[in-house]
Amino acid sequence: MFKIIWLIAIILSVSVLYIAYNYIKSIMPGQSRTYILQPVYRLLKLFEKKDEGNNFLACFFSTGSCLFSLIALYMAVSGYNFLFVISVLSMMDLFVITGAFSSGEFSGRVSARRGMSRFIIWLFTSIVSAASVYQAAGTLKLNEIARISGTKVLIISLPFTFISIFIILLMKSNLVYFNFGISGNELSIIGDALFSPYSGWSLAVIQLAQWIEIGVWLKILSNFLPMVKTVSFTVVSLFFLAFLLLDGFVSTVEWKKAARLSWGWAGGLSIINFIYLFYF
Amino acid sequence: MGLMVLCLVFIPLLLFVIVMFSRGKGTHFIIALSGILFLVCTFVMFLSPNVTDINMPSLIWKIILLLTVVLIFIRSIWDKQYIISIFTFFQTIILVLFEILVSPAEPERYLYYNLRESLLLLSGAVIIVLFVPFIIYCLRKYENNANNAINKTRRFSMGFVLLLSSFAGLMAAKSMTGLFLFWQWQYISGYLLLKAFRDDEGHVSFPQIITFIQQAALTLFLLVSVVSYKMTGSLAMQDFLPGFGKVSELAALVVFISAILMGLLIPENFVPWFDSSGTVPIAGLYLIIYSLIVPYGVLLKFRPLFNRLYNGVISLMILYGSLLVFAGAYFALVSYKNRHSILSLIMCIAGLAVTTVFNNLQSGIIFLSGNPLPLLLIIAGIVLTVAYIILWISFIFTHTGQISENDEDNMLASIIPFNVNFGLMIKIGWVAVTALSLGVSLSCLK
Repeated sequence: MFKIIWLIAIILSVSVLYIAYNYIKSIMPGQSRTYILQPVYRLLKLFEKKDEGNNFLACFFSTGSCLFSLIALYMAVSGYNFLFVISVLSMMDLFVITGAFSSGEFSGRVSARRGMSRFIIWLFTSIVSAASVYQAAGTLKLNEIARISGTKVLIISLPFTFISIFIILLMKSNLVYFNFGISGNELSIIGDALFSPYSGWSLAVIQLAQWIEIGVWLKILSNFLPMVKTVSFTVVSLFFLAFLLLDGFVSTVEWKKAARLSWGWAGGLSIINFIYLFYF
Repeated sequence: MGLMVLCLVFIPLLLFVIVMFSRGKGTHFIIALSGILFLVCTFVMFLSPNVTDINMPSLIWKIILLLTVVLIFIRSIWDKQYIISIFTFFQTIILVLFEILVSPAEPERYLYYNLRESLLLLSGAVIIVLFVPFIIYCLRKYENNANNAINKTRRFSMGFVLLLSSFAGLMAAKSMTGLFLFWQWQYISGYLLLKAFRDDEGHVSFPQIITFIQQAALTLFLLVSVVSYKMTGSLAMQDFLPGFGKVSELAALVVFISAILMGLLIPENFVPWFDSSGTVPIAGLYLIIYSLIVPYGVLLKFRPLFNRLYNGVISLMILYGSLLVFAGAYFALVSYKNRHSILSLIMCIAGLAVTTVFNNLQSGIIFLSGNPLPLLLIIAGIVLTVAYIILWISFIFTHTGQISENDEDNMLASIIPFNVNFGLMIKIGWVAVTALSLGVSLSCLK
């Protein structure tokens, strides 16, 4: 029961974060006023729309990705092995990327390739981070990591690993300099890539899956902080909100530059922490 | 020596002789029969390992060994491959001198399977039987379209049955001379399989240098067996626990390199070279058996020797294994729409198998913990493998008619945002690791 409460709370918390972001953004000077529940409303409106075109597979892949994101969230809440959670998230990404490829359209393939590039980076970073965590904590079970964090202050041994996992979160949310341009926020044809394979309710399901995935990463990150579970989750969520707001002040970079920066920061920092733990 | 063990080695050999004189008749039947018999014998041996013991004099093995080397020597002169002639000539000299002057005693159980080896053999036998229907189907198709098909099929069948025999022998061999003998059979098997389809291409697709290096490695391996006998008084691998003194590192390196070269495990995009058959899926079977199962099984036999090694050498061997994982995954991803990608993936898995051989050795090396590089390479390999799987699955769902080839060719460049020549890096990597391993081994001689 406790796990179910956590699961629902995490799903709701991500939507709350986006609502808060939308609200803060709207009250800033120079910004147009928007409806407070705009992010959730946009998602609900998408569910009402019919899918464009005849890409039946897009519905299948979006449902699959959402299912896997839910499984990953359940595993993260239950304190399963970190690598198991990563594997399930990989499956989720597999569905999203394959669905984008299946569209057969140019923008769909562009979106899939960017997704692939992002996938390679985050998977590499996650596994190296897992190796570091195992080196430092001797376990990969998330509940054990949370327990050890409370007693041994694990984050002192894993500062760069923590940052690299946080950068994965930023990559997945398409924020600041780690925006691969597949969020569908941009107005150009290339930036609009994700809309091509997925539209209508299949796009809504994909976006829901991405929100759940953000929740999974927030939960994983919260295990590293030496605080009570709820407090550490709140702290990490506030960090995330800060970066959501910061994104408004940062210019969008070209996706290849975002990929290079992601390799440098996420991949590089995780390797540095791993090597540091190896020799010291 | 168990009856079933002998059956596993000699029944395919008997079929080899039958095929040789059959003028190409019933080759398909013999391929199917040999595959099924191999599986049945393996299964029976697995269930009841010690039904009947037969004492086979070691003199017979020595004669077979000498005959095999002389046969390769004569054939190489016939084919004007004089470099191989030189190596086999040296091997003959070493064998004759070693057997006459020293007359080493072969282990009482020349061929014997422990549980792990039985399992490896059984898994190999199951894979072989699964391949047999495809091989026969493809051979039939090939025969309808090719000239001189009967002769080629006959050669192919001879290669196939000898593959079974050498596989069984390599898994069962308990002495270094035994390994040498069955590796030579493997060499002949590979030679026949390559020769079966060589003429169609109009050129030699498999680089000759590989066969030269293989024979060079086997010559060194034979020399190491002489040294091992001098140092330990035995040719059996299980007696190598005391090590070979100062030459332990160098000997272990020769053993490692022999296993790697005979398994064609050179981390470069060499795998398609073996695939000269093209129409028949023998390359996949050959690589599963000789690149994946055999190197793992053979290196495990030498664990008593590896226990005595200087840590640096083991770290470098682990590094080489991890390089194989990365290289295999990289080449699989590069040619993800190509049948060769599956062959590269076999090399990737073989690298992992080679690396795990050195798991928890007594010398203090814990899995992959000599230095951080092997683990990072293996992680990169795993990531590329997953990327390959995603691309491969995506390829199935992609509406291929709407995609231009040029667009898809640059897939890797479009997902990795750096201009990195990974192929060159891999080449430099394996040359550097090999040179370093040799350097460290030589430095241990001081």
